[in-house]
Amino acid sequence: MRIVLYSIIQAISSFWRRSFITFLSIVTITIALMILGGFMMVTINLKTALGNLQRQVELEFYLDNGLTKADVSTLYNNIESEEGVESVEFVTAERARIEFIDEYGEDLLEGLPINPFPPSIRIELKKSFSMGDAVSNLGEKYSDHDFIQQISAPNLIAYKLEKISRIFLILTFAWGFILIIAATVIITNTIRLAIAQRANSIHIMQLVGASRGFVRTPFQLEGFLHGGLSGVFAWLILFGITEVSYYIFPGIIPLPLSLNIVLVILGSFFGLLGSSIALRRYLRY
Amino acid sequence: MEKVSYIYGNDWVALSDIDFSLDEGEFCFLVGSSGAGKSTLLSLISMQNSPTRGVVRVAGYSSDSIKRLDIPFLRRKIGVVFQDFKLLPEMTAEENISFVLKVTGQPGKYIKKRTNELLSLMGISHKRRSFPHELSGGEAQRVGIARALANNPVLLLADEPTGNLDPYSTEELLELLLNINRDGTAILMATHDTALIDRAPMRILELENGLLVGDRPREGRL
Repeated sequence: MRIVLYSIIQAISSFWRRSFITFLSIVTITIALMILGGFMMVTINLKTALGNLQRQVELEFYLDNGLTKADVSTLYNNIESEEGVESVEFVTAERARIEFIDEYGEDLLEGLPINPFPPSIRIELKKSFSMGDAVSNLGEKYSDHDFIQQISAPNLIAYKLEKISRIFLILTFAWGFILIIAATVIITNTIRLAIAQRANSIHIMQLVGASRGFVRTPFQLEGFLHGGLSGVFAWLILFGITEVSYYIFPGIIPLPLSLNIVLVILGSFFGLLGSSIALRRYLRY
Repeated sequence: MEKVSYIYGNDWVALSDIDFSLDEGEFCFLVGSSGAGKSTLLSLISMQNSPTRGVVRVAGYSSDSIKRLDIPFLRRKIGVVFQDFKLLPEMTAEENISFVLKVTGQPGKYIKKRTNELLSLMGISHKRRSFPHELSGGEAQRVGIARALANNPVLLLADEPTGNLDPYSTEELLELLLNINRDGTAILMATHDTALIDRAPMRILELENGLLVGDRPREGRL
């Protein structure tokens, strides 16, 4: 207990006594964590944008009015069994009208004596499936079907964008992996440099009878605090940047609380790891 | 020390067949020119290094059987004073002294009392809140000695403690060490200051090129 109390006092007092090194260390780690957090934010926004694009890549078969339940059911089952189809949904004419009103308001439909919307079948395609092939195969196969009035082809630009985004997402993950390794190296080395500066003190402490644990604990706690505080600063700065970015990109999604906490935990962990690695070099007994 | 040799690297013989013992409460000078092996000998006693051959026995520990984890416990039984003081730069004079007491897990009240006692004994109570860079050479060395004495060591090793001091501070420091010795602490002091040796005619071990070439007994009382 006494060693814990001593370590806490030493770690905190070192912040003030070695304020310049502490400042440099925290700034460096904060920048590394900010880049990591920024990357997480870009990835989340990209994934959301990709999800939206995927929703646009949806086939819709508009059906003839007056089909029997059995006709619809047969067509439904046939489409459902097609390769590359994830799910199929039957939309009644009434539901199509309600969806339109929800999106565009009632004014446009005012004065119309009948519901202008036909019933339809919406087809969601499997994400892993080659979307271009699925679209053209299904389109061709059902274009002359007796029950189908019209086929709404998906937005091909959206399809192309989806393909590019997928590649971009893979690159982003690769970049993220490199970034995590870089952040690890930067943070552990920053802490190591801060400790290397005190190699002489560590040597003296051991010469006057301090045990390994007694020397090590305050340094580890200090590394832990440097990393954790940097995580909190990175969180605050990213929050500020997100707030400002709303004016330019209103749809931007901020980093969720859970990932901000991950940043703080990562910072603390790397701080602890860096100090432990550095101390192994200087602790002889 | 029993037939102790120490070889740096493969071929530099720093100490060869050193054989001597120090009685409880004895004061002994260790003399020799630079490179004679004085500091190496002291480093073997504080077990910073292990002898290449032979055995060092000190305060109940033996160099051939001591475990690495026991070395800090040995260091708490011997005090070491260095030529360059080796004070912890980020700690005040008071904290440098109390550090070695904290290391042993002493209660806070005792640490405060003992630190005040030592600061007073060394005549540096007014410098308690000064950092090492704010102290003169003599003051810094007094802090170093206070730190070395904090745990009531059975043996005090002093490696050229007057090397960085002016003649006045040297004289004061010698008086201080003699007083400490009178209280029962054995002292082994490495020096090449002949004036100092003349001032205190104690036992003298003489090293030359790593060999113990002389062991002159104490000449009467001071």
